[in-house]
Amino acid sequence: MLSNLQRYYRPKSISEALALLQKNSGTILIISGGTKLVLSQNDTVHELVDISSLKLNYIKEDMGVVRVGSTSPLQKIIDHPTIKKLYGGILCEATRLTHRSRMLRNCSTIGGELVTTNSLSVLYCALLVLQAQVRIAGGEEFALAMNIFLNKKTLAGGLLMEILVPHLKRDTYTGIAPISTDGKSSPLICACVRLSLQNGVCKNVKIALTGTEKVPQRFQNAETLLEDRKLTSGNIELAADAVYKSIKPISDNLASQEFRKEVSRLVVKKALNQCLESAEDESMGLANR
Amino acid sequence: MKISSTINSKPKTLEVRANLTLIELLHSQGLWSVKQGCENGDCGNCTVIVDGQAVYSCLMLAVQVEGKSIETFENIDLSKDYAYLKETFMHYGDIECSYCVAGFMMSIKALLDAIRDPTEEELCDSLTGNTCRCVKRALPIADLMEAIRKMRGDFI
Repeated sequence: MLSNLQRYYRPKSISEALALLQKNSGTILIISGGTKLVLSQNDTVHELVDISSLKLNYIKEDMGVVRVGSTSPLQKIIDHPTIKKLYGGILCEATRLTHRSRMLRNCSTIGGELVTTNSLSVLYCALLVLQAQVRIAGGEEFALAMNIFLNKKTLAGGLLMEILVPHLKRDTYTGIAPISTDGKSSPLICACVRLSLQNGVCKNVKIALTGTEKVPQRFQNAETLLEDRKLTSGNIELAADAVYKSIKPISDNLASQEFRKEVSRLVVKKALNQCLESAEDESMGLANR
Repeated sequence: MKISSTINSKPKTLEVRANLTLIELLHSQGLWSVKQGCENGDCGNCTVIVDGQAVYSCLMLAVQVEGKSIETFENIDLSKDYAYLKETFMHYGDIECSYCVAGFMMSIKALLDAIRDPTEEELCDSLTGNTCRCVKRALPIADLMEAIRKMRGDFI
């Protein structure tokens, strides 16, 4: 367990942290919650930079964007009233599904989760459909769209500062459908969906799946298919079929390629149906007023 | 490295190795209620409270608790309020070895320190990180809720 770890730094400012990271790249790593790092048998780590005192543990609203500091614990995101209210529960649920254990969620940070993500990352999947951005400091500060960060996933001596999640419009609906082997453990596959409904017609459709390929993926063919069409059971079926046809899932000891392909269709359908039900509930609520 | 922390309400300054885990530090202080289990974040036997949050002490480095307050099972007064919870665990026959009980109690304490009257759902959520290898049926959530009500002086 980190048998060659010799030094532990607690920088007080971001510039100090960046200087440490750039000076010793290769044998130095960042630690925040530490749940994954302490668990790893990484003998190449000689030094750690603890970023927990850099004041990046915050969640705030700012001009139509929710800014989540990279050292915010997952449980803090789940409990935050703004996040519960703004995204139809998709971000809360995705964060909860990231770790079933409350103790892991108390320690594990959103930045750590995004930087060390694997093929199954429900949180990443939700942030993809919400079109979140990340802000990285390193030399000069810059923002990367979430899908670019996902595919390049390198900070190159930089520091993940915060995640920016745009507010959703009032007519936007979200859905999240996880499937796990026993209903208790982490999901095997999960679909996240977000769409706007204007006079019953779908706009700005985003469909993403995690647990099927090396990194969570968006399905633009299914999104295009639903765009400018009514959200009906028939169209939902068509979109789920489009995902089924285009997907080439991984096969491993947890599930076969065929199983993942079949389940992908089901979870996409389930997530889209959640959007449909929310829209119907809302229109019934309005009619009853 | 030197760290200053409060362990069970006592301020301490300790010299630690950079790669020493929190559970190893607590064992070096004679706090053996913190049990070594899976070392993987699955079992919850090593649960302690750090700054009011239940955490796995096997997945945390000792240097990470600099300036923080740590609470272990030794800090719980079992003769007072927590006697009801202790009784519940004692009378729940399926827990045979009791190796996991300190971890369960710490998770419940973290919940009760934050919420005075937790719901059943909140109780279940607080225990999502603890497991008992002996239990053959579900945990006695209703009994634990009853014990919590008694602790709060609500004898309905």
